[in-house]
Amino acid sequence: MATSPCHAHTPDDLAPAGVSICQAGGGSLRSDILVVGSGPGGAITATLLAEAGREVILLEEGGWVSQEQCLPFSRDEMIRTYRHGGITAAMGRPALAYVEACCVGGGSEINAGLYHRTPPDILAAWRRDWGVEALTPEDLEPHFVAGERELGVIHHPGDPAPSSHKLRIGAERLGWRAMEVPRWYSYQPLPVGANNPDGKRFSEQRNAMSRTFIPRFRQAGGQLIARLRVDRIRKRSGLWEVVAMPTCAATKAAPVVFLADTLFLAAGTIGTPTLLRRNLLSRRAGNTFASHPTIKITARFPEVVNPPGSGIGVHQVKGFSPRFGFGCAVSSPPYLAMGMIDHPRDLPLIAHESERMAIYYAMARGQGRVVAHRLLPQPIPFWRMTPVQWQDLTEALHKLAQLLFEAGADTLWPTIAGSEPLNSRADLARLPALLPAHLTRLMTIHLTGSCPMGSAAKGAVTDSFGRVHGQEGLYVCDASLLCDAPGVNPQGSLMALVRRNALRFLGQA
Amino acid sequence: MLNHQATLTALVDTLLRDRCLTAGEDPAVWTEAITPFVTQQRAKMPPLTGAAVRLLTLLLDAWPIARGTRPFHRLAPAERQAVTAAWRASRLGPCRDLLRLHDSLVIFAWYTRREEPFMPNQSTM
Repeated sequence: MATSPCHAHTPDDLAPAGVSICQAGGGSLRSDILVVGSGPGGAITATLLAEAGREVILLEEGGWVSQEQCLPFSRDEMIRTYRHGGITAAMGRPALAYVEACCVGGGSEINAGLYHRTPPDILAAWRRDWGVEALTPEDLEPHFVAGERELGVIHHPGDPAPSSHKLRIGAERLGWRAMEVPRWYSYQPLPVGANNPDGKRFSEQRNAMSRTFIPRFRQAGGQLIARLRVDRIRKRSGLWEVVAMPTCAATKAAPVVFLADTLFLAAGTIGTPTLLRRNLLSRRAGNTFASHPTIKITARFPEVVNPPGSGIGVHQVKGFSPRFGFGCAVSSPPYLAMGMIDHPRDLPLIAHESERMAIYYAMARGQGRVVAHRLLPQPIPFWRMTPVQWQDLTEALHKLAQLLFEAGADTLWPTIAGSEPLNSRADLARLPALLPAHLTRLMTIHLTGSCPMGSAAKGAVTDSFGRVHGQEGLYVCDASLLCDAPGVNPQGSLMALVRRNALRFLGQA
Repeated sequence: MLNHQATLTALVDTLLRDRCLTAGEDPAVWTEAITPFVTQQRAKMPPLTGAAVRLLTLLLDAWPIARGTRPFHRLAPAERQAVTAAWRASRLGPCRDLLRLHDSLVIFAWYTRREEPFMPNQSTM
C-alpha cells in the first residue's frame, strides 16, 4: 500500500495517529479493498477485513471529532458532525426532516445508542418478500452476539431517567408492555451528592465507532483517510477506480485516485444509491427507501422528571410494532424548545420548568425513493406514507397522548402547528381524527433500505450478502441493505448483517 | 436594494424578539452572537436546497416593497414582526417553511447559550 498523499493533520481535528486528514489531495493509492464511509457499516466491514490480513483503505467525507470533544446533542455536535448542518429533508407532504452524520464513525457518533436485534417477523418478511438467503434468527445469532460483545451493549446499571419511567408507568397502567432497551454505552457512577443522593446516577458515553472499531482498524494496519468525498467510480482494467475530492481544502484541491480490487460502499442510505446511480452501476439503487417518521409530544409532569444530566430515556413500547411504537427523545432545554416551536406562547416555560418536561415520540413507517443523477448537484429524497400508515401514525399519537396522561402528565404539546396544548384526558377528543398533513411536523433519524438485499428477480439491488447485482467486486455495507424499516432502531440489524457479509466475503461463514 | 445577509440578520433579530428575548436583554448583542451560527448552518445546506432558501430569503426582503414600503431588512422591528407573522400564516408552504427553518435554528441556538456560551462574558449580559 502506498503512503497517503493526504497525510497532513488539521489542528482543529486532533485526529489520533493513523488517521489522515486530507487537505491538499492529489496522487493515487492502490489497495486490495477500499471502503467508502466510516459509519457502523463501513467501520465494522473495514475492521474485520483488515484484521483478516487484507490491505484496506477506509475513506470518510467528514472530519475526525472524538466523543470527548463534543457534548452529546449539543450545538457544537450539530455544527461539527451533522451532514449539511442538520438541515436536510425528504420532499413530501409534509416534508420529512431527517438527520445524518458526516464524520468519522458516522451515525454511531450522534445517535442515542439504543439497541435491538431484528425482530424475527421482520426477518421472515424479508426472506419472503425479497428472497434473502441465510437470514433466520439462528443465522444471525452469532453476529448479534458478537456485535453486542464488541460494542458493549448493556442495560443502564442504575436508574434510567425519571422521564423514561413515566413511559413505562403509563404503558403498564394501560396494559401495554414497555421494555427497557439496552444501549452501546459505557457508564461511570457519579459521585453521591445533591444531584445524586442515592448514588444511582451515572455519566454515560457512547461506544461509538471512533472509540471501538476505528482503533481496532488502525491497529490492524488499516488506513483511514478523512475529509474525502467520493465523486466518480468506474471499473478499469479489472480494478475499481474511485476518484475523491478533499472536502477541507482551503485552496484549489486536486482529486485523489484510488484503485482497489474490491469496493465496499457505506455512504449511507442517501449517499450509497447516489453513488451507484450517478456512476451507472445500478439502475435500481434508490428506487426505494424506508423510514420511521416520528411525531413528538412534549409532556409536562407535576414533579421533576428531567433533572440536568439525566440522559436519554431507555424505555420503549413495541407492542404495536411494526405498525407503530413509542419511545423517549432527547429532552435537554434546546430540544425541548425545538419541540415547542409550534406552541410559541408556552416557550418561556422552558426557562423555569424544563426539569418537569420531557419529549416522547410516536413512530410509524413510511417509504420513498432517492432521485440522483449526475446532472443534479444533490440527491433529492422523496417520501410518502400510505393512507393506512398515516392512519397508524394518527392512532400512535392518540395512544401516546393517552399513555402520557396515564403516567401523570398535566399538559401535552404535540408537534402540530396551530394546535392547542392538551390539559386533560377529556382534551384527547380535540386531537384530529386524522393528522392534517400540512400542519404536522415529522422527523426521522432512521433511513434504511435504498439498496435492499435479496433476489434480483424480486427487485433487490444486491444479492443476499451485499454484492451489487451485475457487478463483480462491488458491495454495499450500510443501512441501505435493509429491505425495509425494521420497526426498531436499525443499528443492531445493520451491524449483524455487515458482520455476516464480511465474514462470508472472507470465506469464514 | 435587496440584501441577503442583511435580511438574514434582520430575520434573526426579529425571531429573537418574537420567540426568545425577555425584558432587559439586548437584541443587538444577541443578534450579533447568533447570526453567525445561522449563517454557518445555512451555508452547509445542499446546493439546490440552499439556493431555494436563499431565493426565499430575498423574496422575504422584497415582500414589503410590493406593499409600498422598504425592504424587510430596513424595516423597524415591529414592522418586521408583522411581516414574519404574515409569512407564518401564509397559505404558501415555502413561506411557512422558511420561517420554521429559521425558528428552529434561532431557538435551538438561543437555548444552547447556557451550556455553550457564545461569548466569554455572556453571563454578565
